[in-house]
Amino acid sequence: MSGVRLMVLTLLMACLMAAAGQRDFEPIGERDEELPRLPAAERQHVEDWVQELIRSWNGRGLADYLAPSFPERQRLLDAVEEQVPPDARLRLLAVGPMRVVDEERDAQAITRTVRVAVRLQVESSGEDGSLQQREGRQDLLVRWVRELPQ
Amino acid sequence: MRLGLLIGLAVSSLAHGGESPDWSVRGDTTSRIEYFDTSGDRRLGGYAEDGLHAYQELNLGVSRDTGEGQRWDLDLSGVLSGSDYRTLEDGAHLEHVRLSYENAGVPVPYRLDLGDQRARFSRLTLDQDLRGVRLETQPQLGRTDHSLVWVSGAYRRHWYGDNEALAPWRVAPEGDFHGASWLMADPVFGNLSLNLAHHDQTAFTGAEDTHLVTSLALSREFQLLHQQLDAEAEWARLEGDKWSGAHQDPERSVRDRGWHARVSGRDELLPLPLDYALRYAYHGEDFQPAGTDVVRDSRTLGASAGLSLSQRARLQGRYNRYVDRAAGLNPVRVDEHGMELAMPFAVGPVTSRQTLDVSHRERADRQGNIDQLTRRASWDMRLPLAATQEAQIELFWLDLDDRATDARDRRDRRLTLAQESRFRVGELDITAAPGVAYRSRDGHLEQHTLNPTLSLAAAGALHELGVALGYRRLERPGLVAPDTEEYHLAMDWRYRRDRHVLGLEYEHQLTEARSGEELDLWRAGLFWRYDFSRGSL
Repeated sequence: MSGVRLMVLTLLMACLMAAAGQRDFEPIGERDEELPRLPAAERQHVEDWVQELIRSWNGRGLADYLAPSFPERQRLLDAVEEQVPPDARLRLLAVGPMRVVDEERDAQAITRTVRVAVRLQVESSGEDGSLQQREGRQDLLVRWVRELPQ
Repeated sequence: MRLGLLIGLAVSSLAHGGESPDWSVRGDTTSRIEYFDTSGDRRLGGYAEDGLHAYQELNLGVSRDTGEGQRWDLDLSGVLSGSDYRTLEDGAHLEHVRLSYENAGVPVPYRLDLGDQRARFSRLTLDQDLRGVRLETQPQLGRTDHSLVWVSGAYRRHWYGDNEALAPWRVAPEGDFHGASWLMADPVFGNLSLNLAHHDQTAFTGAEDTHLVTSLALSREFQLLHQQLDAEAEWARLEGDKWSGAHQDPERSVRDRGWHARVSGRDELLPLPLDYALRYAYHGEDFQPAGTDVVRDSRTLGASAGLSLSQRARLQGRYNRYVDRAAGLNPVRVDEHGMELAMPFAVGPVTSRQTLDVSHRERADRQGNIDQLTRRASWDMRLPLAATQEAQIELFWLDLDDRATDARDRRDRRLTLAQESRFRVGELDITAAPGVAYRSRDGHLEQHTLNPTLSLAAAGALHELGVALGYRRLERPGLVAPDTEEYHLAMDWRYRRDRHVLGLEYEHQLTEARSGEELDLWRAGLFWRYDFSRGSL
């Protein structure tokens, strides 16, 4: 059972966003910018946002953060409800490398898909009723929208 | 720290040296120092390592555009770490490096990527971080765009800082990957791709998988009978050898298939906007390609529809069925259906936003060892009290009926009250948010939690300050884990000026167990981030 609970945590951290079925056609030479890189200011915002995500997990408000298009969204939320005990608490230990894996631009906004590695720790009572503490490295896939001034 | 300063100076001179019109330099560097202190009984929680932990990280991108469709990109990230939290081992780590070259000024544009990258063909063939080489060419034949990709690379745990101290099944497997993908993007017929990926993977447990996956994937957006549709499908076949678990005959041949299909649409005929989606996935008993998220031997069926009753009111319904270990003697099936209604509701002179969500879920196996019925309802109301004030009430109820053994019967209830006020004092925007959460579980693993909180935030032109106070009372009757009371304080301050961000963080937690044990922990952190990009977005 504790294995299942850890899997819930892994699932949660692995995919906040759905991946499409197949790769897209991205024309060579038509980008306006060099390889998309996350500006430092947004890097800071993503770090602050990860803290917010941890708070939402602790407050059981995760549904607000999962993309509606995520294929196993409901299954993940069900698993969190069924398997995460009320006393479970997540701590953010460190934010690691961040990469922009996809970027779309239009007149209104820049939408970036950002992969961020985090180290997390979860504390809760286990299935045998004793206190348990585990940590691990997880990748978050975050869709980050920056609205452009009109 | 001295090396950190050197990195800062080096990147600063690079940025100033990159004034040539076809060169650009982008990146940032961050220095972070944290101190952790824990006293008392560590079984009550807290951080694993005490003392000083510091690191300096660097993200650097250098590009050169020749103006003839040719472009060079170098992208690298590294960290100099003395922090047990940031990296598993102290020292210098190159966490990401990629060199790219593309040439769009030739009849067949091409692009070469060397180093760390995400290799992605499709959901059923390859979607994996790799260190290797990728070559893409884009010949254009008629109106159809073509993209041919070759990928060869490997995944090694120590490159990506994976923790090998975890349980073996949780440690990421290592592997070599080679593959090719041919994508055709046609403005009329949609996207079609042929994908071929060879995986050679070894798990930490010693299990080895070597297989070849071939797939055909299709996706298309089209209109039919006043329906705006978006459809995609993929069919894949896997052949190879799999670790059997038996030492006498460690490998066995496997051959299996998997497919998935999804269609989503938007109706343009009815007077009210309607959207819907339907999906199905089939993964055979031995269909588990390495380098993907596929779960073998499973079936998934999902259907959902949403009707917008007005601009602010929406009704959604869903049905999901999951079958795991589907081909075995004892498959586990989950049937879930639910409904969500979001609508405005007048409470006196103000209009609240309310969301009601109900669901019914059955989970059972064929042999009767698992037979659970879960019913759940939640209600969330957000009530704007004024232009700068909002109150929130959330009620949650869950009942799990363990019809197989009664051992896991339980009932969860949750009540959350929160309020947020925003106001301005001089040049500062202030936000105050008191709240309280009560969570209670009766039955299996009984627990009762009371958690009042207060958070305050102030933001000026250059400064941001946040303070959060919390108290948590935990009662766990019948469990080994003790009843506790916790007091928590967290503060953070940010100063942003030009390309610099300076931050201070402090956290203090005091935990008292009713049985007498105590835990006292605090963490203090300081960081500085500097963006040395030229023409930063």
